[in-house]
Amino acid sequence: MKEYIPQIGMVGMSHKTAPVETRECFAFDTQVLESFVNTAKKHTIQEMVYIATCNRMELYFVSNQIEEATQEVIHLLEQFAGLQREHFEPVLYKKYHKDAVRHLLCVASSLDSMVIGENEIVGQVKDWYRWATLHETTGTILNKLFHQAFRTAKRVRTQTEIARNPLSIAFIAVELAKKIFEDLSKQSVLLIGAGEMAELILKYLTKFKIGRVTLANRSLHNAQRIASEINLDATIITLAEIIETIPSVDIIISSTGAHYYVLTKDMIQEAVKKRSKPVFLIDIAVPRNIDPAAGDIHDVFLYNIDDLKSIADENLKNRLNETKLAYEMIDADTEEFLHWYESLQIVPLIAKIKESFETIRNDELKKYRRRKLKHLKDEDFTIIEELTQQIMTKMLHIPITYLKELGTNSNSKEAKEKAKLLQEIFKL
Amino acid sequence: MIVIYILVFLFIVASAYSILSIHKDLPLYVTATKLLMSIILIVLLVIGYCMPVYIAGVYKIHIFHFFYLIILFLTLFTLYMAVSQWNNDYRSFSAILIPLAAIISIISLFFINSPRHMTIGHNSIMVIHIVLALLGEVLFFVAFASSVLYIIVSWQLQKKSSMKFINRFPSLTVLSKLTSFSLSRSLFFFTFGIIIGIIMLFQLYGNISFGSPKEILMYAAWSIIFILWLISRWHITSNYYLSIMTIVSFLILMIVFMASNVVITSGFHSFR
Repeated sequence: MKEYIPQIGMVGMSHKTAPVETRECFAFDTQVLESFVNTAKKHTIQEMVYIATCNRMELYFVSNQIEEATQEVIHLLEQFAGLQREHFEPVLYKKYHKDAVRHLLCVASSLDSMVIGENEIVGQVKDWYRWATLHETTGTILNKLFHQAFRTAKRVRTQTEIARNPLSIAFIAVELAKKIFEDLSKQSVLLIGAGEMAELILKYLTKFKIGRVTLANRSLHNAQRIASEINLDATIITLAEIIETIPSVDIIISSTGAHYYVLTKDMIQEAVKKRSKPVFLIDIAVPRNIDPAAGDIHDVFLYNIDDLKSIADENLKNRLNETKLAYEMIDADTEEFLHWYESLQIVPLIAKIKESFETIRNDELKKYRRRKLKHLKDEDFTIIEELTQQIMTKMLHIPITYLKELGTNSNSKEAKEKAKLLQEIFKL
Repeated sequence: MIVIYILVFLFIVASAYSILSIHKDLPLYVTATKLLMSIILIVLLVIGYCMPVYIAGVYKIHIFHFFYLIILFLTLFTLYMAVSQWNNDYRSFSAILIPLAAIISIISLFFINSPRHMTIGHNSIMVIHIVLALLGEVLFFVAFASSVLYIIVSWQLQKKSSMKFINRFPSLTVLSKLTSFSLSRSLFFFTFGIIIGIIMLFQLYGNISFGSPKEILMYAAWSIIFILWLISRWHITSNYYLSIMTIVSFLILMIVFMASNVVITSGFHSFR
């Protein structure tokens, strides 16, 4: 049955196989890409989806002559990237059939990403798929395959913990803040000093529409720079004014170059007495700016850079542990897709049987029209045509239903033998 | 009788699922817990139908009914959580409330056939008084659960535990909000329960108090809940200390309440 159905293939390169200098040559702009797909359409390629992200370039295609099509794709890549084949072929991976399907499911589920569990990849794959559908380069097989990939990615994201716990220090700080306060829009933040990481945390917090922001800095000019960089409407104070401010703030991020504790345990203790809500202290500075003993006070949650790093490490470990479950899901979904794909193999056989019956019917009708039924009026003959059509449809209904069932099981030896027998019986 | 054993069995299974839903972090366990709690409610209603309190024009409340009502209200509250604004936090709360309800259901087994009862004649105000007081008690139960969770989350955050574990619990703000919510509702029901009790006493005996141990206990419980509510309302101390106070108060009151119903066998307001 195999000869009826087009094959799935893919070629690509990723951060695992190729350096950025090579990958960037294959990041085509849309104009080049349009020309690329138009050229590809003229060859043996029936369906095609191009994916390019900062970490990968991949081409999924469908063809009746898959090996020939692969060579054509590589040739087109060579032509459009302006890079000689021998310079990029060693870093190119080629996958076919089950391997190609499984690979796409892994990519969309971010198991092949640089940061396992990152959320951007599925959106990027969707964007490229949308581009392909708009340019009519997809068909039944790739449409089904990509929809399966999006379903699998969603399943992996929701049913495993692979994307649940963040890995970046800044994002972990924000997640912890949400674990303490839930709604960040009602909380106020005090940023003491300036540092790249502290500013990044503040940027993340502002994404959640954090409440009031106060910037404390030795230099007011520096504080103003941070406020304008993040586009913040912040209150700017000097370091000496911190003591009056801390009882009214919920989150304190400290990142000064001071070699002493800017916030001592006593200062925090006094501030806590004046409030009922918890307080979240993030000490990014090295040496530390906040007395570690402050972390022993109830409703005070103090995290330094090492605490945040160890959470990031643990989250990464958890994600890696979850990959086993994710791969199990991918394997199951790959099988499900292949089951559907195999069922397609019976479609041409059904079409051929129908076509063969239809030819016989038409030939016989023409013969009778010329001889024994020539006395009939056109409208009467139309009735006979309809009648024979009905008889044929009814007679073929049971065998075609049987064939469709056979199709869903067409991977088995028995199914293949039965299909072969049918081909022989009807001389198809 | 057999239905009560089925109920206890269902509570044990639901408790196991509620704890597993925290431990394994799989939505399947949460769904199973919700389903089991729905079945438990049906079983409880069947038990309630089979053990009426109003027989031959007289209200006769057995000691088993006391446990039954607490379990019923706890079940109703956990189901309410599943369909209300607290749905996201159902998992962690159910892991505390359901095992506690299971423990009470096991204790109730010892009193299924107990002849001890309170006869209230045909005065239905007494039933309202009991229902309101028990609702107040159950909401205090909820305040206790949220306080326990507050302490757990607070410890985990201070210990810098894995986010995988912390993420399974509600945020501290949500927990303190629920403590305040249940304390205020508990105070409301207790207050009305007491007022109705006083009206009833005055109607029946022309007196507003008999000074019975349970009456004194009721006033003590009301005072404690009132103080806790004041603390939470006016933010007199930190949420951490409010949680500690709620836990300690609840445990003392619960033990004394349970014990008073079991130990006191004579006088007004007791199961004789």
